[in-house]
Amino acid sequence: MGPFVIRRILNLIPVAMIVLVVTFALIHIAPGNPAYTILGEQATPLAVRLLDQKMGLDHPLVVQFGSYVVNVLKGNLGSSLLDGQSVTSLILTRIPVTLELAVLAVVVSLLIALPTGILAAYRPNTWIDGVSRLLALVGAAIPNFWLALVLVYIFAVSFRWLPSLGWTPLNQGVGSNLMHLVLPTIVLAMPLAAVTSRVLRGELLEVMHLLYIQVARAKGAREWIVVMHHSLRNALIPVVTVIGLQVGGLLGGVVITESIFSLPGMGQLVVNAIFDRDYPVLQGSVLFMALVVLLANLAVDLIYAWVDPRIRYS
Amino acid sequence: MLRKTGMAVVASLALAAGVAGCGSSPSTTSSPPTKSSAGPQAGGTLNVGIDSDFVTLSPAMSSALIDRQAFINIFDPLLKLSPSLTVEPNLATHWTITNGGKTYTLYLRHGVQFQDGTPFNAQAVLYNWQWEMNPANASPRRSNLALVQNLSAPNNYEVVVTLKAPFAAFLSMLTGRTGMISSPTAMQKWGSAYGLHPVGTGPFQFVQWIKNDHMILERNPHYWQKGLPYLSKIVYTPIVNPLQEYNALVTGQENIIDSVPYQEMSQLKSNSSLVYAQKSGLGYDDMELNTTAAPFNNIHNREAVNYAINRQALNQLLFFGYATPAYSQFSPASWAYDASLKVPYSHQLAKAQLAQAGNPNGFTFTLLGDNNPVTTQEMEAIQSELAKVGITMHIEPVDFTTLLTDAIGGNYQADLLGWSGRPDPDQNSYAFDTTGGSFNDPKYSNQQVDSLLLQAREATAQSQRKALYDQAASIVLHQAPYVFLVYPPVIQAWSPTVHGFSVYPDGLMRFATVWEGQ
Amino acid sequence: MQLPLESLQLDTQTTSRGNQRRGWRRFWRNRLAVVGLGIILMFLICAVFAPWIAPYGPDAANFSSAFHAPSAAHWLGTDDLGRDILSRIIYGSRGALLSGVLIVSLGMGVGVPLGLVSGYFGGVVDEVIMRVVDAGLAFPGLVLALAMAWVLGPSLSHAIIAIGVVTIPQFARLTRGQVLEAKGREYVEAARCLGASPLRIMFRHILVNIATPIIVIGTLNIGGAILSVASLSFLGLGPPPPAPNWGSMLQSGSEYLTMAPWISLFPGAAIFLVVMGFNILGDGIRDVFDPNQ
Repeated sequence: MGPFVIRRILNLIPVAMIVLVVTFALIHIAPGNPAYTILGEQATPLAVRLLDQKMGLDHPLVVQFGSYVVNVLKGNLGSSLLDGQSVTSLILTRIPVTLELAVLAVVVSLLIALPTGILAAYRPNTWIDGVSRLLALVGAAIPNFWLALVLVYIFAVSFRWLPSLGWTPLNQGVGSNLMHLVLPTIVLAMPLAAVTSRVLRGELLEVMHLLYIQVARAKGAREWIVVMHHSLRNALIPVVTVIGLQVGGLLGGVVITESIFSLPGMGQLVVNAIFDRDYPVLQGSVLFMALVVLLANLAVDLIYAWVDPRIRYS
Repeated sequence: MLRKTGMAVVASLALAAGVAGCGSSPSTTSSPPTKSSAGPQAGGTLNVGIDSDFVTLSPAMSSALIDRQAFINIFDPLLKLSPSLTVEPNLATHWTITNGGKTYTLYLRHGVQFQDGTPFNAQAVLYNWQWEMNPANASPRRSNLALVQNLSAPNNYEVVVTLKAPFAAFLSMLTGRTGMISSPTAMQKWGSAYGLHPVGTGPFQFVQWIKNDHMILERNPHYWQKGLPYLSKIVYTPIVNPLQEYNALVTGQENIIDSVPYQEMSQLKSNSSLVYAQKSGLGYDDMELNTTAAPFNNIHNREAVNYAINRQALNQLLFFGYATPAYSQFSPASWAYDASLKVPYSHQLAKAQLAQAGNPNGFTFTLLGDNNPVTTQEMEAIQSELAKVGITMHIEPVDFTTLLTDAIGGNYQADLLGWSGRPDPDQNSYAFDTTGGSFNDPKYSNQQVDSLLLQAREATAQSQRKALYDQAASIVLHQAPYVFLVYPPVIQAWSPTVHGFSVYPDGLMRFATVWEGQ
Repeated sequence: MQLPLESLQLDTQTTSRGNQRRGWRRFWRNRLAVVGLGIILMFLICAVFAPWIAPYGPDAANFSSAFHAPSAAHWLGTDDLGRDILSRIIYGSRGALLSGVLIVSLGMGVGVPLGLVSGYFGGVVDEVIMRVVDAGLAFPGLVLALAMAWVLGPSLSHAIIAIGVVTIPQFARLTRGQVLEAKGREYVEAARCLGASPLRIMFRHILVNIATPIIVIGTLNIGGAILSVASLSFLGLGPPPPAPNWGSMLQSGSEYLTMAPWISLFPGAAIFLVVMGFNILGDGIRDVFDPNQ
């Protein structure tokens, strides 16, 4: 176990370096000068040049990359070109929103995926399985931005049951906080539920074929109990894996969902940074997201290795 | 949906014209507020929906139109604008103009202090302006103050401004960001982070700004106008999607919104639980044609475009008839507006111009525009208009920074940019039309226009200026470095619990005298 | 958002030819899968014969008939410029199908050779390629594609490149896994003993044997790829107007959701149908190879 963990963690270093190069390169080959964003209507060539100097954008790329890496290692992700706020603090203020949204989405997706997945595996190739499969296929195919528009139209504009957008922090009332998150959570949970449900079904089927289940059944245990106790426990590990591996997809969904519902989270930060050409914010938040995904994958691998010793080779 | 038209220009905001004037919706409020006769009540929180987030809260560094929504309530300008666009005393109680229009002496109000306790006086004004004029600070205000030769403060309440040349728009400029004075103490304390910690003399003081989420202002207890403001708190929420912003008003999440999507107007009119008002704005939507590059270095190609666009049809389609067709830089809200000035919509004339240009079957060009659904639709409509006379127009939606970079750098054939408009006609024409002007993206140059606009800037009598602007506008219209499309109106809507609000042509929402009741 | 390839990994190595034949029979009996195939064929026909099928031109604007609700003249109504929505959806199927296929081809075209090399040679080569792949997989796909499409500028080919590049590491990792498994099998040993060159072993022996699952997963991913293009277009990074692009149609139509919901609802339904079609089809094909069924 020990060497595996160490090797797995050492692997992260080159990966993180490549991630840094990618975020840096991506943004510096982009056209358009951020000074124009700041100066707006009043950008004269002189003002632009002065501002470039002030922001260090007149240095060679290599120098800029070097100082970028050094700063990142120090935990300094730079500051927004637009208003000078530190990128680290911008990200920190946005984590709670995205985290809450993501956690709720995972919980809701499990609430959908567990019953549909279990039922489908319990009665494979019946109408129950068919319906569950159809639901999963629908969930995976429905464009999330379209679903969001339709839900807003129905529940916010027509019935006025839920707010159409926005966010209130938890400390200003749990009820209001949750009301604002109902629609975004559904939108984000749908595709996740679809995948998780199918994976759960597949894993359950496999596990149920294993011998010890048959033994348990021979002992006269009721089938339902067999499913719940023996199969589910074994099948949940892959489900955890799927959710871990879905962190990237979840963050992608967050980008769309937060944009549509005006939620002040990481996704909205990235999209605004892109359209504002706020290089440091874009770099910082994409880097942060990539690190989150890397750590999630690491966690999945470690849990797996801990549970299933066979993984530890190679 | 994700774009930021936040920057000054074009479609989405506060621009110009529905001649309808101040048609405060004939209070279709079915159950009229009974308590409103009780007079203003103090207290309450006003939730305000705005169409994009603020960029900076420092008037000295701001170039985005949306910032002015916050400034108008945090900072009191030296002079204020009346709803009919006349300049009125405010922090400057009176002024004199001497030395042939080159020396302005401003007399400041006594006993006013900034929200941090710093006294408001002539030194503070000088500190702000000198900071803005210092090239090292790269302030967008610098070009506004370019004509200033000397600043002095003979005493604490007198500012003497000596200009290099007469400048008729100077007072009008002081109603805007140049006239919004920050506390020197706060500017020194925060340095480059001052834009996150603004301190002014206005009715509301800054509390908190979470980017892309909300900004909170609260009542300034030391406001110089006793008893004002009534509201204890204002919360601004940026909602980039126009339909969502309107929905937020309908669902009660916001109490007032800065713009209404035209397609929701019929619904708004029939909604008895909302109030709205419409006014002519100051700005315009237009295409800029680069006069130094093919195909628009040929005046006949420019004229062909000018004739080929059915402005009335665009108005019906995109603005549901609420805008006014535009033929100049002066909107119907301005005294410089000339209702008789127009070019006909005519395929025949357009084709004749194409023939004269030597390309009777049309030509091809690319139009740059901001990447948002509203602008994109406008570009598609123009595209299909021009196709009717054989002109092929490609659409290139770009983000706002690229749009500005290319427009200013002359790296384009045509763009759709527009202008949010300012109260004085000089502010809407001089920098755009004169040779080498800072907003002259088409690189247009015409000696006659240069001379007319210079005379208009230096003249004092409004009637004289009007005659000069009429002449200049006619030349610009027919030479078509710009193809003016429409003057969009300012339409704002609010809940009937909001009282004492009125819509201004500049679209800025002033909340000093607004109060909430049943 | 795309389905994770890992979760759809299939085991064709253990599937005998006879099993597959029985599988295909099962496929044709699987009504759902046939429906999926039908949906895709329908869109394919629309794409190929658009000019003959569509009642109007895709860009035929007519201001006076803007915002018309669905009617006999315009089955799915007209949009904000008076264009026929049905016609635009029909023409739009060209870009949608093409982009889906091209994205997967790009992802496979680069990813599969990378995975082959990495898995076959192992060692330092494997380490280097896999670290790059890990880095690629670390970026949330949509975020990276969004940033790339923005850098390149809005156009369909740029969206295709951006999303295609993002899928490369997925295919590389998938292929590598399959290669590692295949490497130990007899036919590889046999080829090696007979003195075949590594290149020949990789492409003639291993690739041929692992091609089926990779192609199946590629098909499955077309739906996800189309969805990703729609997402980028919805965010304003699709092809410039007036191209009849489903995501862009949905985006501009969303401005009129209350007044004219059909402008955004129908393009959304088209995206949903075609993605659903590919997912059902992929699901059906997977059953063919899945011995557990």
